[in-house]
Amino acid sequence: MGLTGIQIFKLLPKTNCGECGVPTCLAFAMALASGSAELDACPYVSDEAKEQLAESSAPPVRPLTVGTGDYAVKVGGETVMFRHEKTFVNEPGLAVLVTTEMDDAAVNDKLAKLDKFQYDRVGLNLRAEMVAIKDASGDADSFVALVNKVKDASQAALILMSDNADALAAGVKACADRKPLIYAATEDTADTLGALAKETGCPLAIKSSDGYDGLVALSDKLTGMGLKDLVLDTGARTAKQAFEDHTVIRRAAVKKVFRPLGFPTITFPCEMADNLMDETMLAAMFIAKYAGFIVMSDLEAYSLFPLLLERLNIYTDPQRPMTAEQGIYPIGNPNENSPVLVTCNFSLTYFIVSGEIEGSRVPSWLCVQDTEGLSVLTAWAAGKFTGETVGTFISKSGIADKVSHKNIIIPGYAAAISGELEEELGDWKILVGPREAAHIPKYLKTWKPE
Amino acid sequence: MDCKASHEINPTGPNQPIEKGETLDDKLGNWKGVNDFVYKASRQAVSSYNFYSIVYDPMTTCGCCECVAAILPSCNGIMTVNREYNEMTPCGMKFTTLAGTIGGGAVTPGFVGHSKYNICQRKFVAGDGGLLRVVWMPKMLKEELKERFEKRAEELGVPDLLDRIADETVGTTEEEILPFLTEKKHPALEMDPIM
Ligand code: SF4
Repeated sequence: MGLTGIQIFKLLPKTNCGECGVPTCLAFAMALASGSAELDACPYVSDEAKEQLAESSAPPVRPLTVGTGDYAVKVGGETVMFRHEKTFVNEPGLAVLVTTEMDDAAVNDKLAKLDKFQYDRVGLNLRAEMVAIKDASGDADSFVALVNKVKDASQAALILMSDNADALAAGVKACADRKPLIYAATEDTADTLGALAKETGCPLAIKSSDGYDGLVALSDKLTGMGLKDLVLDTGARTAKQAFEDHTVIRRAAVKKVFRPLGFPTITFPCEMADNLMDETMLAAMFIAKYAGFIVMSDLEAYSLFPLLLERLNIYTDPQRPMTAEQGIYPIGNPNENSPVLVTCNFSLTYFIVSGEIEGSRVPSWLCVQDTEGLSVLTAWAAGKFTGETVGTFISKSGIADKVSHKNIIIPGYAAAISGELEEELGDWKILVGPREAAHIPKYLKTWKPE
Repeated sequence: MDCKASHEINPTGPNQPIEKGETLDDKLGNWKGVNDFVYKASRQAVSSYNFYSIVYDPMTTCGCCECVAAILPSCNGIMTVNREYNEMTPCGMKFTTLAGTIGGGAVTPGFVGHSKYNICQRKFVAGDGGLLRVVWMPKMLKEELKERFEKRAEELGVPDLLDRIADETVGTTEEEILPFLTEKKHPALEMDPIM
């Protein structure tokens, strides 16, 4: 691998000015070493240091962004083969395909689905965030019309696809401000499209008909032209070959720091299966195995939701516990007579507990205390869910103004804190709730304020 | 003791006896037997490990260590921060970021995870100058370790070392704490360069 944080640090200005976004040069060096930052963020590195660092500090898979604003999709930046080695960094973008062959209604339908199938989970909005617009006939006018239509109807990040370089150029110019991905430069079109990408600042996909060698040659050629943001397509359209290609590319990038293949990939389950189920299965594989962009023919709740969850799970940093925000969560329109429960902020705990409360249909107030992502028993054992911490949190939370009673339900596993909590909270009555979340509904149904 | 028991319960488990073998470097704490084991266990990723250094081939942790130490280059010393301290530290990273940096099998020169009591043991980063290198730690950690710390400081001939070490009341950047260290004549400033 590249240089260690300390080696990089020695080359930095050591002024700790903080302009790179982290407070010290050392912290920046560590971020560089782990591939999660880019050298350009520091305005003060000397040219000489830059040269030395460029090679080793650039992430082995180049990070790049397609789209703008809320729908900007950042991919690449990966540093490992397997999630358990460290973490995967940037989720692959999920795109739905529209083509110039589709009628208006069909296009509207796809765009509507993109808009509709969004899910709020874990405090995040899960959704597919891209539209791939394909020119099916090589006709610039109809392509530009479709690009404009999609652009006006949706904020999604765009992938523009055409075999005709002129049509592609026209389409890209129509939406260059949205930073679309240009798909794709081949041996024949590398010069024209390379120039187009350079002029518009848009990332460019490359596709070779000549295996890895062809791809490497193309990539070298375009990097030579000064392009930085490339996306790879080996052209494989069978599960086995595409899987193999993705593995080879990631290995070359991560294990050998082979720059010509150090780019995110694009893959097309939509061209690899004839029904949505198979297509979804393929997409699931590519989420786990290294794809940068995944283009689907269609989105349905049953196909998209599992993919979104899979993506979330795989790209969640396993080194940090997931947390819910500290605060009071009203569940089911609670009023001043509703029960008050308290739990920790490990997100699994939060979801299970809030889910059970919801399931009970008893409107309740759920107070979530920041335990730094530890679950109830662990937090209790670590001294982060004690009479004192819960007491301080409850007193400050403002829950007392929301209810007219003074009963608070603590998790059964934290029964040991009830005495201490009573002292902390004075006039509150501490009720020990069930140990298992599954028993919450039964408990709440019989609960009465005292 | 715990490790022995664990090994007896599960002979192929996470606790394995290791023969130290030939001593390769007694200052940094480098043993051939250990290196061989680490090389094999890490599947050729790590070939050398120093017991007593934070700068050269330091230890990795699982990320659940009580404290993380980091070098502070401009102070020519190291800082250490305990898990309970949530604020910014002079190295520019909070505990959680630090733990993410060093944990999970990553060998990260300049950083090492350790336990609280380890700080007051004789071998704590002995290869880099030991306890005398410590220039910053959170006040709460200072207080918690006071007794042990002072005993060890006495052994080192700097009984008031703890008072010469900066904490968050002095500052949380290297710039802020350096004048304090200079004023208190912190021994680390006189030592060989840390890197
Ligand atoms: S911008 Fe450069 S000089 Fe400033 S703190 Fe970051 S790395 Fe150091």
